[in-house]
Amino acid sequence: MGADFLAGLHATLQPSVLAFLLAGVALGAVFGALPGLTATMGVAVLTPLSFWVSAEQGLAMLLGIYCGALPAGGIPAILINVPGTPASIAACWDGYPLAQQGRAGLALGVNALLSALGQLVSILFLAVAAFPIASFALRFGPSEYFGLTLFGISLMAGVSGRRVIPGLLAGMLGLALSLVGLDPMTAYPRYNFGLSEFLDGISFVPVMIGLFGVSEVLVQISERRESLVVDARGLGRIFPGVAEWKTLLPSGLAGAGIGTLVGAVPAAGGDIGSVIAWEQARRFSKDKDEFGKGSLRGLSASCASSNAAIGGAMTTMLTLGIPGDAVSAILIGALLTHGLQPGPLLFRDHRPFVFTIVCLLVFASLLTMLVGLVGARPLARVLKVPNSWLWTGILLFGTVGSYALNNAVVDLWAMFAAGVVGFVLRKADVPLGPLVLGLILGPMMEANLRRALILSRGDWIFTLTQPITLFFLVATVASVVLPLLRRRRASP
Amino acid sequence: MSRRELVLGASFLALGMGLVASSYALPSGLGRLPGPGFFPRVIGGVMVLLSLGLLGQARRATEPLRQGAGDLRTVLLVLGLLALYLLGWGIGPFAVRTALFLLLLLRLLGQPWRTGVTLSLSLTAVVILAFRIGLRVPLE
Repeated sequence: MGADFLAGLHATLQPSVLAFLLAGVALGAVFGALPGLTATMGVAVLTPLSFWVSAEQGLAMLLGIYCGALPAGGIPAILINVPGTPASIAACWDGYPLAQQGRAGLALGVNALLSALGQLVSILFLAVAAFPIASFALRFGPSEYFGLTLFGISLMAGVSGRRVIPGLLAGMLGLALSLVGLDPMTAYPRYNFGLSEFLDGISFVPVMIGLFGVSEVLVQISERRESLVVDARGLGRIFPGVAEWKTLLPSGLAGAGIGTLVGAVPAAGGDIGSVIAWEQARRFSKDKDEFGKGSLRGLSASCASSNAAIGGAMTTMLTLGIPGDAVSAILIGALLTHGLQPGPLLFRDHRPFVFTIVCLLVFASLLTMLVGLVGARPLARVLKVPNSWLWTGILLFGTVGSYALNNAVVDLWAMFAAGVVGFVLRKADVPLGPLVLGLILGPMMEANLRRALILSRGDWIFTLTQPITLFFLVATVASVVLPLLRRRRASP
Repeated sequence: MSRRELVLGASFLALGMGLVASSYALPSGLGRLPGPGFFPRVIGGVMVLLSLGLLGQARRATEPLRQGAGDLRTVLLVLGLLALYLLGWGIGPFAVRTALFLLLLLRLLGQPWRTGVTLSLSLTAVVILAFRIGLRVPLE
């Protein structure tokens, strides 16, 4: 274990890897600071670039974007009451009132410091919990994996708020798209429309670029979102004092714990975690009335929690191969391209690489904190860039990046089609997360279901006789039925 | 009644039924052991059931779920321009058609000519530097 850690650390400390990490953090900060641009979009559009470099360099850039974007999303939330990323929505509630009280600098400082705290706590969880979880998951057979993938998709739809059925349908659409290509068991060609380019299935990255890059641009164009005007001159002091730290730390640590656990649940990312943490901090606070009016406790809980989702999501993704959120879904695609299959076998066959990921995340968190503290003013100015420039750049880089993967024109059309589908689904208020999860988990689910049926000679009884499979199936039913019941109870 | 949910449910219902129908053209497997047509049939079947559930919800929905499509004309024009750019992929020099695509896109999005020309040339240069020269992607 010690030698594996040192090997992972050594790989991380290569100057070229650190340079990619720094570039990723800087890019992530820009993507996060601009409302409408998200970590998901940044990682999706820039994933093709990571294929031309080593796995360590590529992952350094992508993890840098992931870690850099989330805290930067708090900057517009604090300065102009517009969340830069969905995860920073709760930062608006106390950050913006603080800015209005003339304490914008302090709010930005708390955002940078507590975001780093949240990330570091969750990475600690990843480092401690991942190996035991992966070791347990090594016992999984086909029936358990089938149950797990089914649970992952149902859970993602279950947390889609009141849109449970559309969420499940999006998951089914993702599963249907995963059918394209050769049958995973018999290599029989299916749904490839006679095109040899589709025999390997639909290219994942162009579809991600279309779903999260192109469709987002189209939605923003349709809503005529205007560029923002912000005055970043009078921010005031940035660092909290000793007395303020006593207020910040307890709620920040509690928020980090909540965020880590929420992030580990497939689909429940920083947006949900930050709201839960803010609400919990308010419930247990003596000064409840301060919340929503510039409470440092509220801001620290939400910032720490939204960022702690990173470690939770990475734990689920690395140990089980199930993405914890949309970014980790794209990261799976990036890892697969480098010949690395996330899941328990990664911990058996590529242990140093797992430690490289942990070290990269730690360095990315520290760099992000530095960028957040030093670069608050320049990042605030980024908000002035006209949206039409950004849209144009994203469409261009998304297009060329999609082509660059395989030098295949068919990938360009996959991106285009995914962009149109994503736009239509967003307009219909259908969550895209389950679609991505279905696309990723489809081959795994199908192959394991069919293997399990072969082992049980075509008898579905395996779903009831295997305890872990049964647990996942009961959890699947609960994750779908409970939100529907809650909705029915809430409706008049 | 929610028209949006009706359209959504009907679309998924058609897709699910199509999946089930098309799955019968694939080998079903030997005996009780599932073949390539098995999983599409399962997905299609579940999709049909969920669509029917959504259609049922749409009939009962009383709240105005529908939201405006927004500036659909500009979206369609942008999509049309992007489709033209993709259709012309490989025809003529990459730099020329990319700069032209970007210029038209920026104009469509309301940027003045001068900004459009400057930005389209700059972005084209960045892409060529990054992808063709840096990563050696054959952008022709």
